[in-house]
Amino acid sequence: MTTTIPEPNAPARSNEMVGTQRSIPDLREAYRRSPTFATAQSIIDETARLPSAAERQTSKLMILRSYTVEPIVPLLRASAALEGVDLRIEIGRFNAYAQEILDPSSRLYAFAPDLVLIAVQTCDLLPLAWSQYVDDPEAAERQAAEAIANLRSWVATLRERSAARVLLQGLELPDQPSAGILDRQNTRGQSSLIESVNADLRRIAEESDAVDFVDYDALVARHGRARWRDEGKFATTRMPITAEHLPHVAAEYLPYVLAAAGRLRKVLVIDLDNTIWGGVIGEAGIDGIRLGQDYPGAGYRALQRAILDLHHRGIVLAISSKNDERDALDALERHPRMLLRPAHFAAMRINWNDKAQSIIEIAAELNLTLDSIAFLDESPVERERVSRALPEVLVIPLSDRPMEYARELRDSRAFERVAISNEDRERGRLYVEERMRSALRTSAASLEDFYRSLEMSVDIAALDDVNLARVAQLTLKTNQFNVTMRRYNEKQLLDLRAAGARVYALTASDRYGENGIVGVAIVVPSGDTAEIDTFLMSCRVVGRTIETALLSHIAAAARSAGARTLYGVFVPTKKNGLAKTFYPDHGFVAAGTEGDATRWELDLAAAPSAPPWIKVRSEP
Amino acid sequence: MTEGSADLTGRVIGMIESIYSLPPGVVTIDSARGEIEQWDSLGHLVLILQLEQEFGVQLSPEDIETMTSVRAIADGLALKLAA
Repeated sequence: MTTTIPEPNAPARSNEMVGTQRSIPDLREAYRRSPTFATAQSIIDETARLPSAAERQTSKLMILRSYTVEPIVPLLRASAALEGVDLRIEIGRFNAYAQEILDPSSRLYAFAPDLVLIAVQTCDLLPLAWSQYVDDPEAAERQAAEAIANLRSWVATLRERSAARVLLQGLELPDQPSAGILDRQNTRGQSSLIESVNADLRRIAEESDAVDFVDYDALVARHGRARWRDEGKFATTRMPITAEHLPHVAAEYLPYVLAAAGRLRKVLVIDLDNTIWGGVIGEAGIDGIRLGQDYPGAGYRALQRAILDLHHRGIVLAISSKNDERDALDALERHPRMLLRPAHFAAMRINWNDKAQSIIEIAAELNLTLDSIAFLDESPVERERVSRALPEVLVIPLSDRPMEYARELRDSRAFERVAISNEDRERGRLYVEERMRSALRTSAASLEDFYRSLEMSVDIAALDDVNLARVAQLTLKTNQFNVTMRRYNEKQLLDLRAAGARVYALTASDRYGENGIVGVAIVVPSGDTAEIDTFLMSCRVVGRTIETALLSHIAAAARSAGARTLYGVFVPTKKNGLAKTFYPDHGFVAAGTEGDATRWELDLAAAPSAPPWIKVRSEP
Repeated sequence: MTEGSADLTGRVIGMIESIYSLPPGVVTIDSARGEIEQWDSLGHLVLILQLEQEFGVQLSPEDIETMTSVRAIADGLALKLAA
């Protein structure tokens, strides 16, 4: 049996309350000012009533635990709701995580979670190390070794039986070690033992792409170990954390929840004057702006460092600044203390236009949706303007103290990642290359000339160990050119393949460089027909006829496997309008509707061939 | 009752309505734990934590035992905030 947190009973609220409906930016600000249970519950109730609520993504979190975590639930659900995720949470019984993992008929598996958090405290998992270490250090070490061996096998069992990601929570160190300062006079000792268990937990996480580690002890230390625990409440309610720190726990879990739900912000749009340097470039000039090692220039330089860190994490950078473009570019190119240079930015709008309009243009230029964008600007007026006009954009709150800006950007957690792929590392370069392709597009006389000038080649491979992670990532994250929006993690992809589906990964390159794996198709054969289960392309290559090359390949493969007809389904969502005419554009004819979805069929004798300007390589 | 404690009572009622998603009017100064469906043992813990967050106080196990009605909460908080 598990404890289910009841869904809030929104319709029971009076119409009066419906009248006070707040927008997402207002709710986000309310929670930032006062992250209490009352605010959290209002956010849960009000976001469920927003017109956009029906289109929210649902995600399921199972918490296996050794202590009372229930109060974290409304805080975490509210935080997820502010990011557009309707988070459902179930909680296991106290200290029953082993049974719940080992029993295939447990509620854990019936719930089919997207993420399983194993939240165990040091005092429950390692009681000897927590409070009795000095009695018998060797017994504490044996207990620790046994606990790790058990956890390792339980995680393996959980991974076999469930498609969920797993989040292992690290153990907190004691505030006051039993031996006092003596505990740190050698490398064995109470604190060292718990640290070694944390290292083992990280090792388990490192061994699988689908297992992550949350550094709970770092969280405790960041906010103050001495005031973290409330032993009175723990003794009476099994809830060990003081009220003021519970929102910090929810904030720490949130990036993992959003990652499991595939909700990631991809672009940071920044202002220039008084944001990444002090002063106004058009007035102060390149020698007059504040940037360097002194006050306040050190604050701006630290912010540039934080932004550059995001760039290395694969976050795409863009500029929206009200300035004379020549002045701003000159400062970015020539200022000796500047860390951010023009080559770091995939798009720039340096002009006197409205910033909301500039952000819309940047999104269009990068082929990304507004909900993948965050905005950083020191001006409260611009922040207000953008959050009113574009509620999907995350506006990062900043104080009026430049020395705090870097901390405030990092604190926003908007760009946390649990993994970083080669594509992520390369993304910044890829977008800069795209800027150059666009320049070529406007100069090429005809579209066909443009395609030929790109010197495109694609490589189409079956699913394998090398491309598995990226294929899963594309099905989880691709929203625009995606005909069915079916989401698969790695295990589900392997299961599909085992059941007979053919999974294809397309790698593209052109004269400007490698694009990496940018297309996925999944085809399910059935006698003399075959059905397209998934067909998606990364936005950054859409509009170059690469989709035609992939379709032509899967159609030919289906035909040589004996199929006469290829079926496809288009499931419309708010975001995938880009793929709406994919089937009719390629000779498919309508074959009925199922709810919102339309069904299409293609006579394989009349399948389209690959465009002559794309060189296609594939396995025999 | 002084005006100050009436104000405190109103804030406590507002918080209870918010955390349990109740329409205005259901919770009164006479409401107590057990009379409202959501005000069970876990609901009580969340209410205590809400009071701690909102008023910046730390409530003891004894407080958790005794603050089981709107009136007892308002009286208990008034004492703590005056101290």
